[in-house]
Amino acid sequence: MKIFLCILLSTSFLGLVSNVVQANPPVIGWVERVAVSDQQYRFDAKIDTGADNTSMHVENYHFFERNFVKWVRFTINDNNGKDITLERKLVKITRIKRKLLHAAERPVVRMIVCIGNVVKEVNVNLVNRKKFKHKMLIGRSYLKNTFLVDSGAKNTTEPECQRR
Amino acid sequence: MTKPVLANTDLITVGWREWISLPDINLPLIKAKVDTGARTSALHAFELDTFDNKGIEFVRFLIHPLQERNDIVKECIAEIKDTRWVSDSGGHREQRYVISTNVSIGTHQWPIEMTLTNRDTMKFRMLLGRTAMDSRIVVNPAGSYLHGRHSRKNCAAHYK
Repeated sequence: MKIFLCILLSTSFLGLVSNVVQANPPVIGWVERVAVSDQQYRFDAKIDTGADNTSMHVENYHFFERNFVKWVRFTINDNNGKDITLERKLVKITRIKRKLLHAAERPVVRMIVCIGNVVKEVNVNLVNRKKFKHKMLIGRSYLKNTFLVDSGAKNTTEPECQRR
Repeated sequence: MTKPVLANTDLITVGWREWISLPDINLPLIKAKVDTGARTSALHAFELDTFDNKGIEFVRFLIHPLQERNDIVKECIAEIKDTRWVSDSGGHREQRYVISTNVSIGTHQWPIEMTLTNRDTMKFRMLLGRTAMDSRIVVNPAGSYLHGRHSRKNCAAHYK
């Protein structure tokens, strides 16, 4: 009985907490420093309420097979311009609708992305964003129920997530 | 340590999609994407024509204010404030006319600058960009139509 009550109380408490979080999430700016892949690499990312998903710049990528599963090897630049090569399992290939152009295809991989003290593993589209200022875009699927966005603010947080 | 800045109560919280109106150009209802990834606001327009009235340059354009309702066409006229080079999300640059108009979201109204583009291939007829947010609003990426919902029927009724 005691245990039952305890579970009941704790679940209702958790419910309350998550409600509070949803009602008033912290506000971040439209550009924030984020860390990917266990805090190792940092970028200034554009916080984009107009984008469904998260995407990041890769210099190049290619597919390979490991144990009969498709993987992607890709090269990213951190903020200091250093090249880093990463390997991830391919989740899927996504098609992006573009104005005036044919749809583009992009590989999607899982990445750990940290903003402030929030850490999430999300799908990330790999794309060449060489001509754009921000090498990473954080879309709504990451931001939902976690942050509000103030387009008048910039760089309000530093990534401070615990290494996993 | 991240400072969890709580939403300033002076700021209006809006969803990433909202029904808004542009009273100065007689558009009572149009769905806008509230896009922190875009600097400039844009309205999809076609058949743009410019004319001069007493030394002031105007643009006349047509718009399909409701998506999937290309049978509804509205004519708008506005003074040209500027022409500007703007890059879209694909990095494609084009020169656009800039007009100035009030925007209404729920009970709030303020003047914004808007560029005219042929966005007919895109889903949203309007993008509300960062300069138009003017530090008045914060965007809730989990919310839509926080300042009112409209059925398809109701929308069309505004353009009868």
